[in-house]
Amino acid sequence: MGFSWPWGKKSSVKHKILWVDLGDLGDLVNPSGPHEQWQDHGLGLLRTIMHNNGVMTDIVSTRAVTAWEQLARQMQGYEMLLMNVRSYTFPTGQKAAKVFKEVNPNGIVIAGGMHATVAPHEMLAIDAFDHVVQGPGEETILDLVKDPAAYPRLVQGVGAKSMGEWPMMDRELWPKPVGWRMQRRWKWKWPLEPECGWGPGPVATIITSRVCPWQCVFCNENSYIPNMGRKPVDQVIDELNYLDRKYGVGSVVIHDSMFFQNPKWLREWIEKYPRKTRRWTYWAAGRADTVRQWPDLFEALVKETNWRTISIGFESGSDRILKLLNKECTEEDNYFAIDLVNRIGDELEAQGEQPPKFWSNIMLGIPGETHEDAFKTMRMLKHMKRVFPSISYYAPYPGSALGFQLIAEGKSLMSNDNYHRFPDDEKVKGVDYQFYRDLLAGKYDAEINKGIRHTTHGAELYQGTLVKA
Amino acid sequence: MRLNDAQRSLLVALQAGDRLKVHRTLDGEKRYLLHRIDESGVSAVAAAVVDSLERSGLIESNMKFPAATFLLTDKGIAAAAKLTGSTQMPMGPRNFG
Repeated sequence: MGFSWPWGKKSSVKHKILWVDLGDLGDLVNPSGPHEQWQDHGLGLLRTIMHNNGVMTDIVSTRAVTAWEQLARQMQGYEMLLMNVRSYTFPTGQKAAKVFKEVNPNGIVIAGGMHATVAPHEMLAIDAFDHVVQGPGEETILDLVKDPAAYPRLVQGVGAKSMGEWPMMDRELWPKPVGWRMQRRWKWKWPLEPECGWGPGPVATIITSRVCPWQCVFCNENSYIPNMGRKPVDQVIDELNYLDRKYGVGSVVIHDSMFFQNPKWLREWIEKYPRKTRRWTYWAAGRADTVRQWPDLFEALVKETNWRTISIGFESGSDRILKLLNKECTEEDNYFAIDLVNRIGDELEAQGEQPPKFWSNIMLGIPGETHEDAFKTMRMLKHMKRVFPSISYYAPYPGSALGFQLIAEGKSLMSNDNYHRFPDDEKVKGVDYQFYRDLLAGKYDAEINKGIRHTTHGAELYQGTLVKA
Repeated sequence: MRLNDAQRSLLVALQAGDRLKVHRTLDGEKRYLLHRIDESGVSAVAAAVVDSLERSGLIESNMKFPAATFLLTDKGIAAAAKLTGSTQMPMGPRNFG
């Protein structure tokens, strides 16, 4: 196994507790894209809480080394290791925990995060994890690290009641990119993040709300993450302005599962964000049905606050599949949102301004989906004028209602040593994936193009607006 | 940009529906593999070829973490169509850049 620079920390250990940031080896040394460089807000928040309360920690990152031997050297001499495990970092987390135990046989490993929350049985099967924390950890971490023996192996974490209680995250507690060459290549002004194609760098990523309240069967995140009050608008703006003064912000990514909810908060955002900030363009997520429900609010957000990359979980262009997914959106909702964004985009472009674009989340290969359902989805995508289609084959993740059902039926092709990293991995037995590969290659375009609609769907006049609130 | 044989053949393959993905191993190995559309085979692609096409704006990452798949851009689709004369167009970003 090869060794390469960096050799890591000196052997003098400053603190007893070590955080490990998880990701593929070398991603902060020689990344091949922006996706490898995202920073971990869970780690950043918990580490900030610990430091603010006098519990000091050090950090290493699997992304900042190119061989496990380097990590082992950096881990020597610590008493405790903390990590935030997601499904796609589960293999790396296991390996990091084992390496830590090899160099610190009496050391304790505490692992939390989304994978611990949705698949605790998989985490508990790993001997190297001494404690597994389900759920949020803001109100648990301080006591847990002070006296882990007082806790059972599976710990139920407790979160804050409101994000307003969170301290401002100290981003300098995030791991650093390694070497000036990669920082120059990606124009990375750490601790802000590099440009990823959604707006100019440096990018400030923030979270204003947690948990999407809907119950789509492929996600169901509000079944296992407690609801929490949204971060006050003033607090979000203060943080962005602080980051701008200190580091210089180029654009913003709002990582919320569902930004476009809570109209009262959104109205305050419209009132204050343009006046009190440099009105950076931003990426944020919404739903088609709420766009149709509150079209004036949506349009004002796009135009006045510079919401320029609009992520919508359209998922499907077929009512039959949308119902199956319990999406609570219809084909008409989807087309309404598309027509509206197309129109706003044309208007802004005519005025010489940057038009809004869709980040369009689409699922294919849903069990029970017919060819015609998939054709309808492709027609819907073709209706969008400015779009980045983010297409994945449906994945039966543990934690979701449909995922659990397919796992129980033995139909999942996903495995815990590889939580399928690519959108086009085959994930469910019985799905004709060759059809979908051909579909995405454009081999059915003649058939798809025949059925494309050329009408608008009410967005011009806000007709047919739903009243769900 | 003048394309060499390797760059041309990658653009043509992507237009035909082959998929270019970054594969990672637990030990940190990173390989660019081109998967045939019918799953009949996989071939390695030199990192320099991928890098040059990405820097030229002909392909771009799908921006999905933790591992990327590369897509033809509008410019890449136009370049591939010029090479093959085919109008087949894989689904990808449109007017996004």
